[in-house]
Amino acid sequence: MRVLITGVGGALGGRVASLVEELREVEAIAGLDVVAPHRRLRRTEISVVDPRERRLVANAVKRFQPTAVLHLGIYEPDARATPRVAAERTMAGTTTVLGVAAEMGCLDRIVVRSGSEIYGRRTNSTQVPDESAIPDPTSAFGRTLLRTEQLAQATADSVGATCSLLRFATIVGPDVPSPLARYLRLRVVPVNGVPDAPLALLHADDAARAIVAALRLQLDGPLNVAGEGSVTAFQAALLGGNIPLPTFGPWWSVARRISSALGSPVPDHLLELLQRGRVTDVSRLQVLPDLLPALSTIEVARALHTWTGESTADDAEDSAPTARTTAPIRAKKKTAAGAR
Amino acid sequence: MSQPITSPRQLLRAIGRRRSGDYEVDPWGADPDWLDILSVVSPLLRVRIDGAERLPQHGGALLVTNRRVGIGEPIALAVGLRRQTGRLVRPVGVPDGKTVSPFVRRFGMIRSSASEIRSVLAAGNMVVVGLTVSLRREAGTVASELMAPALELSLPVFPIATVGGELTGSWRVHIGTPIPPPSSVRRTPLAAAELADRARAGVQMLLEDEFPSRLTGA
Repeated sequence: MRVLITGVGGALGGRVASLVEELREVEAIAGLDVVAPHRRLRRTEISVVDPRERRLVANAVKRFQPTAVLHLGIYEPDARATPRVAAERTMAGTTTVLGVAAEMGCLDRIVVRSGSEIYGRRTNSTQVPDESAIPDPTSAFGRTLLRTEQLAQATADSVGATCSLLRFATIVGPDVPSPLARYLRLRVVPVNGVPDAPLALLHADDAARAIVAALRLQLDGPLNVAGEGSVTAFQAALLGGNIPLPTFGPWWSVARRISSALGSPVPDHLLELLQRGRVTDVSRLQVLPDLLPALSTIEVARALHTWTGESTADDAEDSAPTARTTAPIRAKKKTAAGAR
Repeated sequence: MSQPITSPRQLLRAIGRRRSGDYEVDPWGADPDWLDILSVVSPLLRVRIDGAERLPQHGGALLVTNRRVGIGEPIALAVGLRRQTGRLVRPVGVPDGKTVSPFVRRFGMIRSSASEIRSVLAAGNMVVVGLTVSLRREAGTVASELMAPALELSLPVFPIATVGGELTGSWRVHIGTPIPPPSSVRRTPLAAAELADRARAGVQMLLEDEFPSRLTGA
């Protein structure tokens, strides 16, 4: 099996690459991203390239000829890039990588990092949707996820490959650049009135294990993945000793501006999460023990406040996302180990 | 799920948990402490329950009760069963929205939709569905789609008669024997409609048998 990992430079991509390197059935691994991974990878061939550079991305994919694609190049708005850049990178990367991989004629499985934002939170929508619920996103990130899933499914159908769509709860971890984690670490956390709605969290290690298990098991179709149980933003703030501030109606726009000025922007999918909550039905995981998260949502929420913060490289990109995107990065081929 | 609060000391402990964030809110927004605190601070709400031993100690079940006005009966039933059995019972009928919905959901209420009832039942909860309002104390009707999840999951359905008044705060509840599951393995809309009819008939029979003088004026 020849595995191509997009988004390998992110915290999730790096974890997944480490796990994939341990699989005996994998003969070669390649990774694509705008930055190189922070961890030491011995077998992974890294190409540092912006997904919007279609020609460079296409060449990298053609050279590698993958039989499996782990599509983790899904950029969450305000995590590592601005919302516009994040959406552009996600869509360009999806179209090019999957399109070229399909043309190679040897693709047999695709695994996509999707998210629970895809279900949306329209009035009278299901509070705890299972995989049979029809996606109806109500945020920009949710719509990006839906388009990504549709493209991946169409690609898989065209070549007879399987397509595993892993709809993760909000992923957080010690080195994961997450708008929600930053927000919940504010000293004063605006939350939705009294009370607020429940949400689910997933540790990045659990997400990485689920992706690798989906690759090995060659799962097909959508699957919700989240830590057991739920927590509210009010509760998550209290768990860290921070002060939840009940917020109503127009005060949300003031809270968003102040939060953004304090270094914690609130994209629309995060605002939706804070106001309406987001939990998914994960009962299907009971029959897939390899994908069951080790940590429950409340355990992740507790741990969130003990982590020291995000890694230096992610912080650097967070602080200057436009500088990264306005100056296209030249494609360069190297191994992560060699780069050090 | 946490144990119900039955003493002032447990109430103080619950308030302490609130301050540290160390409490439970389930995926549907229910917070058992809210229901218990409501029970403790509302001594005027008196619920007498007969037949609670018929309910399963674990796992899901659908409870169908009559309604006179509003949702007093389902809420009295949920509070009474929480006190008596320690289980969280979830009345159906919350509206969706950003403000009212999360507040009402804290007490265990859920939205009146088949998909939500199915997911709550599958998670092992008991759900209370109220019949349509009937001012003459006759059993109303129930939408068959709300019964379908119990049919799909092969869970027991209990008819329940609830009589009392919001003004007096005194309620009397009688839980009937579970309606036997259909002999065939049908999961069709017709089977759900038949189950709804049997649940309604079961509630009507309980109302007539248990409270004849109040119902018929006999």
